[in-house]
Amino acid sequence: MINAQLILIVGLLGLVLLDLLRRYRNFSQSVIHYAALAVLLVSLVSEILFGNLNASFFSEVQYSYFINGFILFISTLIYSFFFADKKSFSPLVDVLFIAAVLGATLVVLSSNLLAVILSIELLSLSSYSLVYFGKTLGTLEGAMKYISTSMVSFVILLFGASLVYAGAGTLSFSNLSSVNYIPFIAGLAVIIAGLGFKSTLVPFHMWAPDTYEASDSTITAFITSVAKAAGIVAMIRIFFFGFQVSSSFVTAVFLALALFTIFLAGIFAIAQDRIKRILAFSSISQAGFAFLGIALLNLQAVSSAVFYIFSFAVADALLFLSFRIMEEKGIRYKKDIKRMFSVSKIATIGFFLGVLSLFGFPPTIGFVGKLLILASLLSHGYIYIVGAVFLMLLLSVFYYFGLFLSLDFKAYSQNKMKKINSREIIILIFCVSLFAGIAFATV
Amino acid sequence: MVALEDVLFLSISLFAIGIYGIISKRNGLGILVSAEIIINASLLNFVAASSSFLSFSGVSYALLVLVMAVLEAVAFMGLLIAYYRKTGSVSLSKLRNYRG
Amino acid sequence: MNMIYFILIPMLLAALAAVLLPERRAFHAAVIGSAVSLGLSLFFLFDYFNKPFLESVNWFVSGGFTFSISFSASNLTLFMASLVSFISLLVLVFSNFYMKKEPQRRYYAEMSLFVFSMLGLVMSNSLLLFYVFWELIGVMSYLLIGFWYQREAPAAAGKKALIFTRIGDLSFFAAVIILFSSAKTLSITGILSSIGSLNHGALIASASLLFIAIISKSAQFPFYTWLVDAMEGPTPVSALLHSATMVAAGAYLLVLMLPLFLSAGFASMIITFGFVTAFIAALLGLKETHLKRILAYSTIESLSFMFIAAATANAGGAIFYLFTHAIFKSLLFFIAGAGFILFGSYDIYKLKSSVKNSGWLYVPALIGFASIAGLPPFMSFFAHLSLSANFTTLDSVVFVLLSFITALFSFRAFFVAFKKSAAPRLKRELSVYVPVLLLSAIALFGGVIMFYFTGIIHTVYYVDIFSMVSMLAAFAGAYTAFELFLNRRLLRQVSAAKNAAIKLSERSFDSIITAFGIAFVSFADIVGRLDEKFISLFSWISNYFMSLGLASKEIQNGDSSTYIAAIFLGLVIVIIIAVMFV
Repeated sequence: MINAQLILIVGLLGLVLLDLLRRYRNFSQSVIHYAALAVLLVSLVSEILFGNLNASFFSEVQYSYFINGFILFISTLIYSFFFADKKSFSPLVDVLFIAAVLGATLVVLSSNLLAVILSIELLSLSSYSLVYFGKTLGTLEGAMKYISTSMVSFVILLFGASLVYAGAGTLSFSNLSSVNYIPFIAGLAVIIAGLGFKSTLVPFHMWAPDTYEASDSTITAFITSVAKAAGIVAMIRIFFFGFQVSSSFVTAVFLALALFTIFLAGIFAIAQDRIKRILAFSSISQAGFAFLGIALLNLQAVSSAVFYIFSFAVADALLFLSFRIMEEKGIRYKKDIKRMFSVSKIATIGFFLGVLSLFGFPPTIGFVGKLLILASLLSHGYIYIVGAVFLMLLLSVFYYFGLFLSLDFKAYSQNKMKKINSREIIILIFCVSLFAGIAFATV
Repeated sequence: MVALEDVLFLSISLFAIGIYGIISKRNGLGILVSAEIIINASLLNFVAASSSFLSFSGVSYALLVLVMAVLEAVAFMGLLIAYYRKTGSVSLSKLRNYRG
Repeated sequence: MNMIYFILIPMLLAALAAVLLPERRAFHAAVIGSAVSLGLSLFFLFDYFNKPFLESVNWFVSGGFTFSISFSASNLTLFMASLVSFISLLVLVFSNFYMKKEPQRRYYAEMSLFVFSMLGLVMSNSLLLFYVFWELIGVMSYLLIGFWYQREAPAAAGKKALIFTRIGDLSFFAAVIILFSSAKTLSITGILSSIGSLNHGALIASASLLFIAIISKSAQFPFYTWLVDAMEGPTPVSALLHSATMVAAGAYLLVLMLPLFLSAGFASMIITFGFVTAFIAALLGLKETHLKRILAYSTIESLSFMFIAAATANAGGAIFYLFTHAIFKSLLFFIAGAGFILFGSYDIYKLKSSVKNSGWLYVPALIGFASIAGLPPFMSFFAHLSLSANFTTLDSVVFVLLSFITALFSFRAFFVAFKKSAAPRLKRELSVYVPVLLLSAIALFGGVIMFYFTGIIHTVYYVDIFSMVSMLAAFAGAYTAFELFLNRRLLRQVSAAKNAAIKLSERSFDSIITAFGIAFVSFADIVGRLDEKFISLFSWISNYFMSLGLASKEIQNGDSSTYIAAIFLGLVIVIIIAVMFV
């Protein structure tokens, strides 16, 4: 049976072999890069056509097609952007990238707590090295912060899993029931701490602004879309499809953490001066919205959360990729935003659209996502929470507007049109999917 | 056969020791070693629970976790060595470029 | 299917054409587009008169709900569509004269997109679609106000407009969600028919949120300052957006959702807010010297009239007044713009001192300012009759007072800035003549339309003692303005109290009236100072949040051990919450 994960695994190993071959036959590195791109494309196609892995630790659920599809879609686009951006880099990066994507898609499919841990680890290990791509002191700092905090959360996660095992006797989702309540609950609490790291819940988010800012913007785009999506989906997998624990404590924890995230990330973002940091904090607060949806633990709310993950993943990837084009012309601070349009028209428009989508402006999918989550919250009667969220949305006016009110568009009638380069084409594809993505709302 | 509750008590105290170690150490190696203590605590849990429930799945989980822990430690050491080569110290508090 | 959305499509195409075609053709694209839209909307209006229908297309399905794009074609919506396209056509024609030296493409593209969104707004039946267009007109307004973004003032005014209306937009969004989850439908007709079954909390919440939305979009108290600053934009933009269409969107939403507001018991609150806004606007208009800003204050006041009319269950009066206001306000903006191009300034005192005669603009200006005051025999007199049809005695008394002040400030502007003369000064410029003369004619003779307006929306008019008294009050105001500002200038230099005392002691009828006038002018000073304090409140709030943000930057101190400690802190919080709830 052909499925996307098998292709990724085979492709991964094949790339390693191909690289070995390269040293003997001496062909250029780009061949390997094209091969990696081909692997990603083929797996995207087979995801759409054939579907997912069904093995002992992994099984499909309703939305796994959708999530895996968009993870592969975003990863293919980010990889091609990376390739178009840096013409030559070591083939190790390909291997790491594909391994990270494999880990992310496996998280979605996991049906065993240990499988979740394994897949998250695969994703994390690859991303540590990806963050350190530039091999400068700055990226090293980002990678060190990432790995040290990640290591701590990983061991907490492991301990929580072991407590769950001690309490329930099994880690497989289909067999879990609430036997031996106390270690079980303790384990759940610890798991939240462990996985909240990946999905940047407050207060586990503190690595994120520094790491996002330190690493190369393309890699940041990857971490903020795919890795964060994988973290949130891991939570969904565990708490919705795994433990059928509809106890109020899960709802309470998620709602509290989600509100903290949205509010605190908003406050942090207000006084920032560097654009990349503002984008990082806004991306942190988006994760909070998704958790609002998960907190309710019913199918309608969770499917709106999944759609919201899709919308912010696309928007964040778009933002950081557009920022990559700006970054190399030296635009770092808010005061430099005026120069954006002269650097690249398409990237500025992409940036603008991404901010509009994160802000919830119709008719982008960010608006639809927010609408769905808030509607599902309200139809379960959480009216005060919706009110609080609206106040926080009002707060977000401050930092989002600071970003795009400085944008200005010079007259369209500029005679010299620079040739569109391939990076910008990718940004265009993202922009289109910001609007067209509504077709996928049938989740 | 040791009772599961006693082993849980041991592993939770190991967890606490590990946490104390992580918080109080400033250098990377200290964090790594304390994290290893916690990993061992969880391994202990897995094995003890598997013997208490009389199934082997716990042991296999423990082996998988062991491998993952080793890999994580390798990655951490690699970055730490690169850091040491660049700055000559192992203290994580020296990294303060990105703040605010 | 009846393809009613064809009314929208020409403007969308015109926007695209304006960007793609060479610069000189952008104007033609926009004008042709709006003419086609006008034709289509009139065609639909006459063809489907009294035969309302709905049309909808499925947009997407999620979680069991079907979101659809639906338009409604009733007398009211088609009439509004015709009105919007008619005014847009005239504004675009006028823009040919006013914006000759400006970048054409961007202007016509933005204007066409605005008209597209406005047409969509008046015709949409789905509250969600209405919200989408509501947001779009806000964005277009920001872009158009800040058209000359290279200058400091327009750019700041654009941002202010966007931020103030943003509060309203978020409230609207919240209201949409509340209505959606209570009434399980997003169509306006559906929501209105299920008002009886909404629970009380949802009713009050959604009504208040919608109220915040409409007062922010229609620049009522306390959100009125953005409109006055929005006058930094080009004058055709002010004519279209900020008098006839965009700010009327708030009043239109009020009329559409009137059953919701009335059953939530908001009528008296809307009336109070309306009167307060009207007083503030009229008094502030009395102190202004910039002609466009005076017109902005009069727009705020007119909008509050529409609100008050709607809140007294007189939707027909509100819509007829909306129609009338669109006519005479755009007329006045055209005159102001023509005056600026010809005479070089908007300051009424500069116009007074540097211009020998106002040329052919004098009579249209008289018609326009008299319309603000509601004098017969102009169309707005009939509109005032219709507006005040359902007023209680108290409302009518307040309205009499308001008529006096309104006439006072509008005729002040007229008498100071415009001078009579015989000789015309303007060379033949059709794109100015046609709109101005056409609108003047309508404002002059259009009063008869009121008698036929019931066909569109149920309109009543009621001639009683109070309407006569308010007409007299308006005449009195005009006369007072004549006395104060034309015959006896240099009011500003005379001590107000001394004058009032002298006048009262003279005890003659017209001096009492004049004393009233002076008293109001000094009262306007006080209101002006309060207004400034109020503006500083908003900046205080944003400063507060900025300092909060700066303080929080200390937390993220770049030290990994802090981050790890935060992880454990989070773990402790999660465990505490777990213990609390299990």
